[in-house]
Formats: sequence, structure tokens, C-alpha cells
Amino acid sequence: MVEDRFLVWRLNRGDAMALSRVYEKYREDLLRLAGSMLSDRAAAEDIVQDVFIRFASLARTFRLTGSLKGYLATCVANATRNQIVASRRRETAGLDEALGLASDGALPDAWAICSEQFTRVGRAMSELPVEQREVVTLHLYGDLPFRQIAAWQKTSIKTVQSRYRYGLEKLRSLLNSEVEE
Amino acid sequence: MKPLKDIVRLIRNARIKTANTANARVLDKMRAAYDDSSHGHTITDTGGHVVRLAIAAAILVAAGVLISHLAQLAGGNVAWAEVTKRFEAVPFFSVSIYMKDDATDEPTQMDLWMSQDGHIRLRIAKHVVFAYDGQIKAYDVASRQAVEPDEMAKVFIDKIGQAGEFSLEAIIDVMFGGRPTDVTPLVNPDAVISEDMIVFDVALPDTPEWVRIWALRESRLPVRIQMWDPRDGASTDAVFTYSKEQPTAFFDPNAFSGVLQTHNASNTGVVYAFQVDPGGKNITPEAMFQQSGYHMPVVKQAGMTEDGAFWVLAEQALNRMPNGNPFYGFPRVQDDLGRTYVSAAGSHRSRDDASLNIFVPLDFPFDGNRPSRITLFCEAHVQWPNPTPELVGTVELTQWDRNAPCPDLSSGGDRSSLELKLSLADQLDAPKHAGRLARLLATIPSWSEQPENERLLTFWIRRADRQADFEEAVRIGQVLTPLLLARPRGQSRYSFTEHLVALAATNRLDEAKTLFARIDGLSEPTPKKEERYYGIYVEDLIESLAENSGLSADQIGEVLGFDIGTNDAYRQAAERGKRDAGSAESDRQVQERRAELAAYYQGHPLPEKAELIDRTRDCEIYLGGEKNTLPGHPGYRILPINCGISGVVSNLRTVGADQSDARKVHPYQAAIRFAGGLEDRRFNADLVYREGIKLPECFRLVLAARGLELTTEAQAVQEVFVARYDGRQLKNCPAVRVPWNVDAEDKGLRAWSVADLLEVLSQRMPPGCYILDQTNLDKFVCVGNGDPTWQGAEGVEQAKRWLQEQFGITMAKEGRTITTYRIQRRAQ
Repeated sequence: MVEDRFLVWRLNRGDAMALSRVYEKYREDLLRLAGSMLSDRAAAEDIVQDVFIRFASLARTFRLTGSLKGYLATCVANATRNQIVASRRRETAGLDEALGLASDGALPDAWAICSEQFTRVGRAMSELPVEQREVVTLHLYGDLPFRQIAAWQKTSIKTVQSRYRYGLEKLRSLLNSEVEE
Repeated sequence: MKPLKDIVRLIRNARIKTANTANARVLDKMRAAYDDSSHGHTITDTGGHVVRLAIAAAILVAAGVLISHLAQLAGGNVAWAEVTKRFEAVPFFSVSIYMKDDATDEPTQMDLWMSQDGHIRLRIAKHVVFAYDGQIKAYDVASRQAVEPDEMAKVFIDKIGQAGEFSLEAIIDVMFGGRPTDVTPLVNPDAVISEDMIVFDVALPDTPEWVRIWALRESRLPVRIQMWDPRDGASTDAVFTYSKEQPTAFFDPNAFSGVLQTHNASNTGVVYAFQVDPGGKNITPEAMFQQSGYHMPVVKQAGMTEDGAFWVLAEQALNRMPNGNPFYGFPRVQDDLGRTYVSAAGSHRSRDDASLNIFVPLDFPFDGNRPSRITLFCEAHVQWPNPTPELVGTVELTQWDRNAPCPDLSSGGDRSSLELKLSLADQLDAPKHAGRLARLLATIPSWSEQPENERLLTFWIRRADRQADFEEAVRIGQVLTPLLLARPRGQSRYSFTEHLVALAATNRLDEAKTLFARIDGLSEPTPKKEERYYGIYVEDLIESLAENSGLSADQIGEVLGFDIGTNDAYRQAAERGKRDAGSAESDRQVQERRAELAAYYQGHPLPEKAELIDRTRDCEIYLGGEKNTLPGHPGYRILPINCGISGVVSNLRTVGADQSDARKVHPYQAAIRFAGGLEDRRFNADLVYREGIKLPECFRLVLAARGLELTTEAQAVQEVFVARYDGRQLKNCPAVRVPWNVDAEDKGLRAWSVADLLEVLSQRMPPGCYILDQTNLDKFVCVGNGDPTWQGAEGVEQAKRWLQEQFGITMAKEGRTITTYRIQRRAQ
């Protein structure tokens, strides 16, 4: 937290080196977050890349009011939510239109290399309803407190906590064979 | 089914790695976006106090040159040129920096010391950082370890280095990321209240923040620099101190490291190690001790109560150890009867430096013996590195007041015998004192007999809590808590813990929640909410709720009114509590089983060699750190058997008792054949055996007890993977890490043998595949924690590649006759 404030201060003052540190610090968690929320890995990478680039473009004037990780995680969550909505639209759109909706950001080749465990978790996550998946991933990968997730989902903390618990319960049944020794 | 926390762990541990080339590409794009955004950018804020650290460093260290620059801007005033010269001539200066985030924020303080030749020593929070000539070394005062300098310290030192060349532009450059600026410092005549001082103001570009510099007119030295943000009252104050050169050791990280190794050094002694005060004042408790040393307290009065408690009143009682920790009067006594004394109470009155030490013999109040000589020991218990106390001196007493009531320093009255009994009872927890404790407890009134006696109620609620009699603890708590709350001041938050835990343990979560909210809402109890110890109190409470009340993290959150998962320390406390609860339950089961077996042999003859006794209920017994002796039956021991027949075979292999060729076949379970209609089944029993019988023999006796024996047989030609070793020189075991994910903190690290690795690998291969170990490597070859992640065909291939690269072990598929195990009934 303290380091984040300092990193933002450095970025505010033109120190581009601080970008590397922000990137190093959060890239994996953001990729895990996006990767768990979307079953499309390429789209997830695209989103995280866009969030980092967008952050870099705002970094000189960026004012940190909470946790930097929380901010970036929320950006990723917003983008994934948009992506999910867009995908739903695409399902009913024609081919030409669908191509137009695709991200125009140049996707880095094989950016994220998922462990087998992550692939399994991701597969299980895709079985969850979107709201539960958002809560579980934002809480576990984004370190967002339930209060903040509740504000983001525009619902009560109780509902968020329930979604978290139900989500974990379902993941438990889906992943049970993986964690039993 | 595993608990939810395991799922959470699984999710958290599911990793993603990123490719370096792709990382570089993304970073390039970020930098491009960042560079593009520079046009038209305006600085509006300098951030929080962390930020000001760097700003402050830049400003204050730059002060000398800053003033030089001011001199130029002020028209080459000769006086200012002198200021510059004076500053440059100062051999050593230190700065205390105070930072506030806003007008109402508590200031954060840090220390900086710098010598003329560029040595820097810095204290930020618990870190002491040394820097010289581009080299930085950092140490953590709390852990007494060398640490990586944190990001902030590194940048801080870097900023100081940059500002070292100085001009005002250089400082501004450091502060504002290299943008060209135009700064004009102006003399502020209104801020000057005396002819002794001159004050300058510096307006910073593109921001309403400003800097003010105070310097002494006579000595020409800056004494204070302040930076102020009028938007929120955030400020940084730097106060300068000048002195003669400090000893070389003061800036020497190696000398400092030596002090860290002195484990009983105080934190003050470490932070300010080697610093010499220009006025010769003591800076650390160690320096104080060097002057004062120890002294002997003076015995003013001594006495023995009617029931045998001994007390001594002393003057000049306070002694301090080199690390500043105090001790009072005489911490230990010995009598001519050779009895063991327990310190039952002690107090110190600072007004006249008087101390009272009270001791009771172990069998108080039943011990009717009366000594004729008592020796008082004044000794310092410096724990580290020598556990033996350091003796200051002794006093021999042959005379004292007989049947004299024990005085109470605070009240001026007498101390009751009950208080001494309660204190002794609290110290008789060890099982060897069980009889003694029971006798003592019988003389202590129950809590309901004296419902106004807070000390008595506290004693009984703690006992009830320790014995998990939570219903009783709730009953006591309902009387005790109102008493505590009615106390005008001085109660500790910890006093309510037992009641809170008991409410939670008896499923009265709503009441627990109400009680916590009530305690938490009070401002009086210590630790105060704003104190750092409050966090530790909450951690302790969470641990107790998890361990003793058996609450989940969510339930604890419900009681406390916030999500404990958002705080690492709180989350870990809950996990710790759960772990301890599990371990306590496991210990309880062991104790129960030992007692059960001991009772069994009260009515049965002990076995000649060994006997396998089935458990009366289905459970698993793990000895952990518990003894495996059979209570009341010396010469006999217990070996819990929680596994099946195949598990016993595995144990035989592990302990090296099996030297047959079958031990080279993996997986071991597939290499066991149960003959004659036998099946693998769990034992759920304990082997009671004579001391001296070795472990391998024990496992054979387990099989024999069931009328079984282990033999081997040849299996017709099979397709097997034959593992061979190319004979290369292997690295030392700890130097080789397992290839799967390992905990960065090296928790649960274990050594792996080739047999272990091949066994796991064979279990990951499709059913029917065998590995025949012909490596002849029977030593540990690597270390790691967790389980191998080799899954599926790809995982198996990965494992094979790693074994070959790391240890020169190859796998060749061959048709072989293999030797396997056969479990059969014994002929006789």
C-alpha cells in the first residue's frame, strides 16, 4: 500500500521506471483475475494489456485514493463484464459485425502460461454464475474487500458474501477430487 | 470433503506465468502510452507522506547548496556565501523529519544522519539503512536480520545522491521528475521574529505547496525546513542538529551487524548504536547501564505469614538490565529446608523505589515447616544468550517477623491468603502438580460464594475456559462482565476474552457479537483502539475464537462485525487458531488412548513381545510430539497403526526393513498381491510392544498379529520402465529444488529420495505401468514442499525429463520378470 502510493507519486513525476514495478507487481494477479472471469484466454490477456496501457496513459495525473491493486482489479472486472456482454451480443450478431467487435489491441503471443492447476480452476470457475465468479475472483485474486465488491456489483454486502460462499461451495464440489489427498 | 479454506488455497495457489518477450512488449506499449501522456501535463499534488519522505530528503540534504543558490538569487550577499561555507564545514549533521498526511494526521518521524564524506545512515520505521558510494545495506531492527532495502529506502537514498551535486534546480529536478522549473526564493521579513534568524520562502511551480527555510544569522546554518500543502495541511518538517564527527563505526554496516547479533540489545541500543551525544548524554539503555551497573537492594523488612508465605520489603529496589528491562528487589529465595518457592506476587512503588516480593512454598498452605535461614537472591534474568541468571548478590536472613500478615504496597493494607493461593494455583498447571492443585483448589471458595470478588471470578472463569467448560464460563461471565464494565477505569480488553469465547463456543453468537460491540465501543479499556497493541489484541481474540470456540472465519467476522479476510494478520490468526485446535484435539485423542490402553493392562497381562489392540471407535491417532510410553507400565510403548495392510508394507520399505527386490518396484500398492481371498483393510489399532523392539520388527509383528506374513514372488515377463542412473556426480541434496511449485517461505520443506520420486511418478502413470528402480541411489537427492504437479501424459514426460536432466536417471521400457509382494496367511 505504502509502496503503491510511492509508485504513483513517481509516476506523477515522470518516472517511467515505476511502470515496470507496477506491471511486475500486478500482472499475474490481473491475468488470473481476467482468466478466471472469462473462458477466452486471449480475450483475457487483451483486457489486462488494455488496462495496463490505459493506466500508463493516465499515470501522470492518476490520484490514488485506495488500493492500486483494487483499482486495477476493478478496471479488469469492468472490462471483462463488458466483454461478456459483448460476447452475448455477438452470439446473435452476423459475422461481419462480430469481427468489428473484436479487440483491435495487438495481442502478445502466448503472454500467459497457465499452470495445470489454474486451467482446472478456470474450468471450474466457468461453471459458476457470472455474479458468483466475479465475487470469488475479485476477492481472491483482486484482494477486493466484500464492501468494495458490493459497491461495484451494486448490491448488499450480505448478498456478496452469500455469492462468495455459494461460489466456493460449488467450486468445492467441482474441484473436490482435485483437493482430496 | 475438504473444508472451504482448502478450496480458497487451491484457487490462490493456481498460478500463471508470463512470457518474458510478451512482458517486454506490453511494457513497451505502457511506456509509449505514458510518454504520449506527458504533453500538457500539470502537476497538481505531491501525494502522501511517503512521497514527502523523498521530497524532504532532497530538500534537507540539499540545504547547504540550496542556501548557496539562495545567496546567488539574493544578489550575492556575502553573508549567504558564508552560510554555504559554514554548512560545508560541518563534519556531521542529523535530521529529524516529521511528516503529516493532513492537518489532523499524527506525524510520522524518521531519522537521517550524514557525514561530510557522504556516509548516510537512515532509520525508516523499523529499518536502519546504510549507504555509501552507491552501496546500500539495510537491517530490520525487529527481526535483527539483514533485509533487502525496501523500495522507498532505495529511492530515498538515490534522491539524496542525486541532490548531492546541488543547485536549487537539481533539487526541483529530483522533486518534480526533471521538468524545467523556475523558482525564485524570497526573503520573508514578516516571518522573522528576531535578528538572530533569517527566513526564506520558496514557491514551488505548478502547485500551491511552498517551502520555508529558517537559518541562523550568526552561525549561518539552516535549522529548520518546512514544506506545506495548503490544500489539506499536509506538511513535512525537518529539524537539523549539528555536531562533531561521529565514530567511524556509526556509519559502518558491519559494525552495526555485530550489534544485531547481540540478541539482548535493546531496540533503542540497536537503532542508535555507536552514536555519541555531543553533550555526553546517554542515548541508549546500554549506555545508561555502563554508567550505573547493578546495585543491591536494601532489605527494610521481612516476614512470614501464619500459613507460611514469605515476604520481603526492600528499598533502592529498581535495577535495570543493559537492555533497559527492569527488575525489582529479590526475584528468588532459598531456605535451609531446601524447599521450592514460587513467586506469588510482587510490586514496586516508584515514589520511594520500594519493592515487595512474596513467595510461597510449593505446598502452600499445607506446608507447616518453618525454616531458620532464608537466602535472598538479587539476580538479573537476561534471557539471551545465557539462560542462567546473572547474580548481583545475596542476603542471608535468620530473623524476620513471625506470623506477620503480608503487606500490600498499593493499598497500604494486608494481602489476603486467598490472593496467594490463586496465584499459586495459576502456576500449578503441569500434570505432575495435579494432586497438589486439587488439594489447593479445595481450599479456594467457589465464585458464587463471593460474587463481588473480581479476582476470584477471573480465576474461575479462566479455569472453566481452560477445561472447555464453556457453560460454566458463561455463567461466571454474566456476573464478572458487569463488574468489569462498572469499573471506572483500568480494565483490560483481555479481561473479557473468556466470556466472549465461552459465548461463542456455546453458540450464542448474537450475545458474543453484542458483548464485543459493547467492549469495542468503550474508550477506556486498554489497549486503546488507536494503539498498535489493539491490533494484537484483535489477533489474539480471533485466534481464541477459532481455537477454543471453533468458529469459522466467517463466524468470527460476524461476531467482530467486520470481514477478517481482508487483513492478513487477522486471517493468519484465524488459521493459526484452527490449526492449534486441530492439534489440541489430536493431542487429546492420544492422551485418551494412552489412558485407555494403560487401564486395559490393569486387568490383562502385558505381552511377551507385542500385542495389537483394536480401538473401540473409528479414529486416527497421531503421536505428534506426544510420548508413546504406556502410562503406569514402564518398559512398554505404543505404536498407532492407522493404515491398511499395504500401508504396513509401505512402512517396511520406508524404514529399510525390506531388502527384497520387490522394494524396487513402483507403485508399491500395485506390487502387492493378496493371496487366498485376503483383502487390504485398515487396522485402526495400536501395537503395544516391549521397549527395545525396533520399528521394522514392530511392523512385522503387526502383520503377524493378524496371522499374516509378507513374502515375495516372481511375476511373469512384464513391460516395465527400468530406471537407470548414469553415474554422474550429484549435487548436495539441499541444493536441488523440486520442480513443482514451492512455498517461497520454505514451509514444510522435506527431502526426497529417488525412491520417493519414482513412487510418485509411478502413481501418476496409467494403471498397470510399473517402474523398476535400478538406480541404486538410496539417498536423498532434492528438497521441496507440497506434492508433485505431474499430471497426465504431459506431466509424466515432464517428470522424466527433469529426472534425466537433474540426476541422469533414464527410463527405458523393457520386458522384465519382476519381483512383487505377496500377503498370505501364516502357515502356523
